Amino acid sequence: MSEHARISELERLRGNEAGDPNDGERDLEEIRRHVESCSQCQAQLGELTKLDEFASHVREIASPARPIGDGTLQIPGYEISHEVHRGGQGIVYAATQQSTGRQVAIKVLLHGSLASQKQRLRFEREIDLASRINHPSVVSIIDRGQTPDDRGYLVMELVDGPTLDGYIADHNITTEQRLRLFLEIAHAVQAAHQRGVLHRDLKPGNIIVNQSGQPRVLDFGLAKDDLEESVTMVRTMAGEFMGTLAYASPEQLKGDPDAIDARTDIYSLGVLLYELLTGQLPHDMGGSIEGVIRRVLEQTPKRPSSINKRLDPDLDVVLLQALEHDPARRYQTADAFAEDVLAVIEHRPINARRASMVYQVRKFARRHRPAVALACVVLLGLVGTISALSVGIVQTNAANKRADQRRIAAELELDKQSKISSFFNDLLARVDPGQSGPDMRVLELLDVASGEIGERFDTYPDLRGQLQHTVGETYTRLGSYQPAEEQLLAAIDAMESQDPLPKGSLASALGVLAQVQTATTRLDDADITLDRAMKLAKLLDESDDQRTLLAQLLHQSGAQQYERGAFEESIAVYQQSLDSIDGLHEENEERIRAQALIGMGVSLKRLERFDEALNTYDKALEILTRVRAENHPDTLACLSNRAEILNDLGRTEEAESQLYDLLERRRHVFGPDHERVGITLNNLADSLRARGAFEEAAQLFDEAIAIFKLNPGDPSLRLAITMHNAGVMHLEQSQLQRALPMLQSAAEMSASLLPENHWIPAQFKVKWAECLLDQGDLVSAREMLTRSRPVLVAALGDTHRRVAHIDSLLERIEQ
Amino acid sequence: MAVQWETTTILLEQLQGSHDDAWQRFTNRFRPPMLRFARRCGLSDAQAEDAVQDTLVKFIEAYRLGQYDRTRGRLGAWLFALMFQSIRSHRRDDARAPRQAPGVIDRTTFFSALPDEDQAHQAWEQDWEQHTIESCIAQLKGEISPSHFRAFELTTVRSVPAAEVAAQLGLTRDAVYQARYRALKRLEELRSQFQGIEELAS
Repeated sequence: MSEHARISELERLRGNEAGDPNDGERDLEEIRRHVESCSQCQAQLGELTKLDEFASHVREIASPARPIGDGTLQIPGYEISHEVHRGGQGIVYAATQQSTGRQVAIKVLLHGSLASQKQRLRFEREIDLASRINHPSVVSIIDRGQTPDDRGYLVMELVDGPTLDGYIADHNITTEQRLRLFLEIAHAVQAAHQRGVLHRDLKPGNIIVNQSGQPRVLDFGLAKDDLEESVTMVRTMAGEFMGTLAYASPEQLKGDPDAIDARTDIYSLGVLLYELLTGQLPHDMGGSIEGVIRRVLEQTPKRPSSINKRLDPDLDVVLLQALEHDPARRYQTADAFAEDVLAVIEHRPINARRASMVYQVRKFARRHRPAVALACVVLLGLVGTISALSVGIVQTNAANKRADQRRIAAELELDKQSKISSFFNDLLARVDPGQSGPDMRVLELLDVASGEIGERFDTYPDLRGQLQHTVGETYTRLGSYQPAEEQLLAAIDAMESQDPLPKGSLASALGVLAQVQTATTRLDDADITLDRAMKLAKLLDESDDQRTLLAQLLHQSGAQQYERGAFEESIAVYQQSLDSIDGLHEENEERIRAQALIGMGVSLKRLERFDEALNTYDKALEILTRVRAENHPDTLACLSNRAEILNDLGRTEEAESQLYDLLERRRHVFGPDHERVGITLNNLADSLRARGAFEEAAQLFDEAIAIFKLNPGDPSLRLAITMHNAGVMHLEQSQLQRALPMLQSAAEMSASLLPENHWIPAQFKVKWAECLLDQGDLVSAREMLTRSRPVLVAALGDTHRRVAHIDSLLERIEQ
Repeated sequence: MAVQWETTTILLEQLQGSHDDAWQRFTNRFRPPMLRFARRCGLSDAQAEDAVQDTLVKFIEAYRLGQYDRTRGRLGAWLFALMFQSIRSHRRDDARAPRQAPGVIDRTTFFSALPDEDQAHQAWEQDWEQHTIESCIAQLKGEISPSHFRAFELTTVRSVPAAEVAAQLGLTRDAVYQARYRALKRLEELRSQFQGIEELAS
């Protein structure tokens, strides 16, 4: 992209502008990319940011609502004594209500005269609601009206005392006292929410602590008379209102008025409590406005206990939940937030564990990307598993009405929680590059986890089963089939011992086991396992989860068909999966779609429908780039398959460059000796061979073979394939002495691993026969070719070029 | 509309020379905020006029004697010092004078309650700045097209979202942002010139 960014595009980049597709503007990513590489646009961006402060200054001064302060303010019925405070919203005066002699505060709104009739009505309605909030911690509104020059004013009770931050600075109060102070504020907010009034601008400056130490929240309902305006205000006046910015929720900063609701106040309460307990704001407010906004939107605050070591770690969980970026993941009510704070004070278990563990891993992953990113994916899987179980426990608890039952359940929950928590923390500690060096890899993490799950969770088969399932599945995804099978069998065992049977989990574990059995070429076993999984899955009630599970089992079925050489059938099964997933939860749908497309592509390749295969992989890749991490095994697998197709299509240069990239990524993710690295080496060598770079190819084949020989178990089929490919290369170079042992070993090895009449050994035998033929052993060659032909016809059809090749070889023999 | 604009630096230079109307132009430019400030400090209208006149005369004398060196302080700060002195003196006179009737001095104002120099200075700065910005905006209004001025005014002063302004004025959003950007840049420039600090700022 060479065109410079327009100012409106830069404003979008700064988050000030939603953009309009009809304006022909580019998408945000494109703009960002351009700006990152264009010093001119960067300078312009800097200029815009610099102008923000000046603009807010101009606005403050030139606002038509400003002309207060010349001493002429008069409000009938009140005697103004002096100005108390001047802020962005208006000016507060101390006054006396003449009829009663009562001391009051009058807030004259700066922006009132700008409001439209509609805005004014809404504002008045909200003030009416706010005036009905009856709570000892809410500063009540006594009266409202318009000044003679048409500015809105509010009369409130006059509260004498410092604001919350001032109070804290002047009083040396304990953590518990701070928490109790916060509880009163949270209850005040809840009372307002129950009246349908949001605050939208909670901050220490809006809370006054009176002489008896009671907090009083000011300005309910008048925080913003128009949400959109409020967002704009925060943005345009950010230079001046950094204080406000610190307490604004991500949805406010994103300028998304539809997303603002009670949970926006929950976020601000979270910031308040964070500051109360640590003396710091959750995010660094230094630097440019857009930098601050970006940090709030993207970064996760430090654990409060890392700042104030004496804090109960449960407060980390509570606060980080309140400060979740996604409102749906926060406390949903101020009462729920307060309930957990009270639980911490009273040393009871809190309800927020669930979200926070996922959160911690995410945070960890973000901090240490990419070194342990994949390890964190695994941890997330584990945590997801644990979380689901914890929720179940909590819900069961809620259902238990009787006190003793509740006590027992609570104790059980506490014990489970603490076991989960320590297991999780230990694992997290081990993948911390600070402790284990930068190269702690997923497999090592899994080895640690699998070695400990059995013992740590021996009294909880439900937890044990789920964790072993997750670990087994991860091993599988990484191609470590032997430990995968051990964990899966243990998981299945633990699940089968439960009453009632956890059908969904069991079906899922069986599905993964079938995958392991397929990969290790035990296709008959895999059929039986998968059949059982399917039956269990069909017994489940229809739901998104059930449909997702069924789709995954269908994929396994497709894979098994493929392994049997039933390519057309395999494609049909994947198509069935694609047809079945419409309307699933978006992320699930995307992932399943990508998996189905990859599966389909593999069979299309075998049928030599290369263009279709390439198209399929491109579609899958497009999805994976969106929903998976850059180095996720699925993404890498798709890239690998795609490169193979490029080779098949004769686009060897493109293929090679992708394969070199892939090789590096796989080495980084899996380690240099992993079978996936071997596969890529093999593919790359094959590509080099195709364009005649024999020497380099031979070297890479050797490296791949060495890797496969290192790995026991399944990789021997990989070994056979690589030896076959290397043998073919030597055959093409007429190096028959080198080719023959490799082709022979490949054919024999694959025949011993795969079922009788499998197409792979048949195909390998064809090449072996070709080599024998070149050596002049016509009899053996003819026998091998004759036996292989019907197998390949069955798998590939009688018009396939490989079958034609056999026919031409046989013809040669006959001549 | 033809736009007459002179920087304060030029105006000050002309005060030194034989430009007859330079004094008048200087007074026109700076009298309003001084008057306003004097009123805020509790002076009656007549007292405020006197105080402003005193201050301007003192300034011009000092300036012609070469006592004002703009590299050593801004014009505003210099005028404040003279102005506050004058107001104090008026307030002292006022306190000694017998009260005839409730006048403006009885008005409840910020400064009658808290007349210390720091706060007075703060209030002066506000008034001074407001006058500067308002004058510069008035100048800007004459310099740019009405629709661009409106775009600037709506987006910057009234915080109306650019899309809404664009729709209202029949401009593209980008044009609205461009107008806002140029207006703010020009306004910054005018502000420096108005305060006589443009060379110092560069």
